[in-house]
Amino acid sequence: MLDTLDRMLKKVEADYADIRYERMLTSSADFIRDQLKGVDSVSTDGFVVRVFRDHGFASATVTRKEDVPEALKLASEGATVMGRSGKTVVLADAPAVSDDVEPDLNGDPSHIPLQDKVDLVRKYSRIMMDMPGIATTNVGYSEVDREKFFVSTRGAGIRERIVTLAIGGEAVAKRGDLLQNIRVSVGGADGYHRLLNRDDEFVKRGELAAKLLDAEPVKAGTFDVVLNPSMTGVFAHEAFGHFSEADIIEDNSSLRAKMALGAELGSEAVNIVADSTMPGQVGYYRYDDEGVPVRRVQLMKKGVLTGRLHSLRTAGEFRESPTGHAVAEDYRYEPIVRMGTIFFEPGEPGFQELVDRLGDGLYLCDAKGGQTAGENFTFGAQYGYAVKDGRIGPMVRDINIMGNLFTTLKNIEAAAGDFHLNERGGCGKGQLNIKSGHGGPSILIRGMVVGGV
Amino acid sequence: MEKLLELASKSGCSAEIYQQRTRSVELTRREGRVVDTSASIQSGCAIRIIRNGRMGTAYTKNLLDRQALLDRALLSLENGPEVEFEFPRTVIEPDTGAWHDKVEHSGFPEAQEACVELEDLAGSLGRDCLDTSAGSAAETVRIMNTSGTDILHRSTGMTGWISARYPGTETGLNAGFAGESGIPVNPEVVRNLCEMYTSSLPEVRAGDGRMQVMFLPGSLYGIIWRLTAAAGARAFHSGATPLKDRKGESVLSGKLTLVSDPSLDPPVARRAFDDEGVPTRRLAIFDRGVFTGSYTNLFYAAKLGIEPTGTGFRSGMWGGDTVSLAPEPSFRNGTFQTGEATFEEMLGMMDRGIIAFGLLGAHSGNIINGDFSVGFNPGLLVEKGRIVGRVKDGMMAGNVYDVLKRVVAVQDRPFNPGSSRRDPAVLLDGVSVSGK
Repeated sequence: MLDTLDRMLKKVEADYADIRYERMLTSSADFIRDQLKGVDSVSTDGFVVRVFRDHGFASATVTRKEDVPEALKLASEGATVMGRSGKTVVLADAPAVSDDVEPDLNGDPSHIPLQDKVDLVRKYSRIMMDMPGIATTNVGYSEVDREKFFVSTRGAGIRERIVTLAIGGEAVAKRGDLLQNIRVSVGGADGYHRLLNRDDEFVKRGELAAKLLDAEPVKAGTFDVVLNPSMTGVFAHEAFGHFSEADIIEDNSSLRAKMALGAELGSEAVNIVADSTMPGQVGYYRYDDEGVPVRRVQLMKKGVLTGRLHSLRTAGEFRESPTGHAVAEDYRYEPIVRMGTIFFEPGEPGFQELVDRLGDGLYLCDAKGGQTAGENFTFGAQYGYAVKDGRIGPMVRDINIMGNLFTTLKNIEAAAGDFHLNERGGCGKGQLNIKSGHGGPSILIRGMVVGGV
Repeated sequence: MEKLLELASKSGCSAEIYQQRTRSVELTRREGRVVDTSASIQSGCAIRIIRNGRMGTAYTKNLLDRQALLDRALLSLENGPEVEFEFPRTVIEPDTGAWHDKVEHSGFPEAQEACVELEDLAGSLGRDCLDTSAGSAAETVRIMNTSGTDILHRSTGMTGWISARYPGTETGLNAGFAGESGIPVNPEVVRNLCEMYTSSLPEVRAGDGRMQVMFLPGSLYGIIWRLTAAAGARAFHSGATPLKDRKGESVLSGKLTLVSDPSLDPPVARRAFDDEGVPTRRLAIFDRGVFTGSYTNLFYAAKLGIEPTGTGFRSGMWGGDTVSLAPEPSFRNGTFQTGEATFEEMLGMMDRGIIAFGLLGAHSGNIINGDFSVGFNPGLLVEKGRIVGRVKDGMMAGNVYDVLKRVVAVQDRPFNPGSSRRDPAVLLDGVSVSGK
């Protein structure tokens, strides 16, 4: 395949060009309650080409091999239009790598019969369905087994296989007109065994959904809060992480000035890292979709901005080193700058010490959703607790928090010593990316806006 | 496709084949320069088969080996769900007016021209705060089944979009335009956008409390989403919907009628049949506030014993490759029917309130229950009928079945005529707002 791609590239006139061919085998099985809603196991593929010429850089994606010449033509036209509009793209240098990467899997799902996967999901769905208060469940199996081939005119030739697995969904509890749901997910990128023997997790999530029926809606207002690791991870990803993606700030001159390396943006408690080299995590990979080896990047150290994530194009624009973070979700997309695994580093205090320091406020748990618009962010908590005098009290629901990144980074008072990474990813920047991991410790933030109902 | 159908028949299955091909180009400019161009030519083919009351599915991007595709569908059928529907027989003549060859082959120079036209119209703001994009798309969909259906949809469309960004942020005001053979840029819409932008430049604090909120297309979708999530047949089948047993009941203000009408959609979205070959039609799931019943695909129609509504589409909440998705109940481009007040009259009704131009976090919260807790992105503060600034760190929260009983007025026309959305502005009273 690498030779075929190389021959295709030889037909384009460009200062640089690359081509990616990606084959994806996806398997899924979806249940509503214990009824099988659908089951699939299919293979799809496609090509993505990129052309750099006349100081412009453009891409095109096609399904069929015979459309690749048309894709190269469209990408060449796009690059020329961009270059003539006054935008001058500079691509950073990166070594041309040749490699073949197989993942280290504890249980290769391609060797497991589909029926076993269906039975496993049915079992987890029934566990939650049989619990008191649960009205319905939606649980599904997701297996994405991708094989990527990358060739560039600089001489790179890489094959990498990445297998992402998850079983996830929700439990919905109902009493009268009141419906409450809790999400559940287990998974990762290290094999099928991670999905086995997870009954306890599904029991725990079912219990939480039922308990939410007795929770009070949170009152809107401004509160001091402790976020649990799931919430901290979403904060790291949504509020801060997207700003550390160089393509987000590349063409916004005022934001770019604010995000200068060395800027003191946060409190001393803020230490944030992007590390897609951590094995087994959903955000793990060896090479990005430009053939650059991914490396660990310390994004913030004691509140000071120390790094950002790059593609070849943004590294050239910022005159910084590539980091290997240009990633496309699949064969339909060009790569864009993405995080992989991002997390807050843990601090010293124990969790109870953090809650003692909180005093009065809210303890918010398990993120749902999240979105940013520049420096403003919002995301929800699936449940939470009122905290009075350092004691965790009654459960609350319907929680969304909103804030300004720069204000909030200064208001983070402490990070606890606990640490947890999520098992399932989902980032909606441009293209839904399931290889998105995040996490961290519990953290204490002063003065968050909480929108209740 | 015919041969594949024949192969499926020989295996004792009834079958449906869905084939799609799309071509699209898009160009994006920021601060007066092209920053991104992308092009995509995608095709694919999906098959659904039914045998002995079970369904199997498979799809491929390249239909090179028909037997292999059918074999995968047969394998999926072994573990497949039980279904009680049959593929429909539909005869519809193709809508030939929706296809324009020149659009199918249009490229980046045309898109760039459209962007520059939009930037020129908003010239008073200066290019530094302007983002524009434009592009074209062509789509062909063909559905065949063993009941005798063989229908074709071909359409082209061009879109243009402009955003005026507030200094030092990624938040702004935007407007879009969509047409079948060109981009119907409406100078009045751009002029209004510029005026709203200029008057909303100062950052202001909204404070906490209940106040009037005017929803525009960029925020109304968050409200409509909650209604359609609860009204869909999937929610009814699972029993998890607050609308259960409420058919015929008045649940919203009498000023609100929620309609989906794919025949009125902008060209590239206009469809005479859904992705299962069922003819589309105007469907009002809330008629003057009264819930009239669920919308469905074929699967749930049979499960619930209701008639198909032409709303089975291969669409997912987060996108996805169309051929890979199963047809699900989808209230496509659903929106509120226009009312009787002009936008200026509605502004005059606001003593102190917020125009929700866009939302942050519409996808979080207990959607099926109708709850929302979202940030303004942006929210424009209105005092005595005038926009005085944009709200800093503001959120609003509530439940749609509560707030949609307090409708003050619905605009007499779509807020953005010529755009891909037909939503009017909707003014609500007593929405809970929080902000520092």
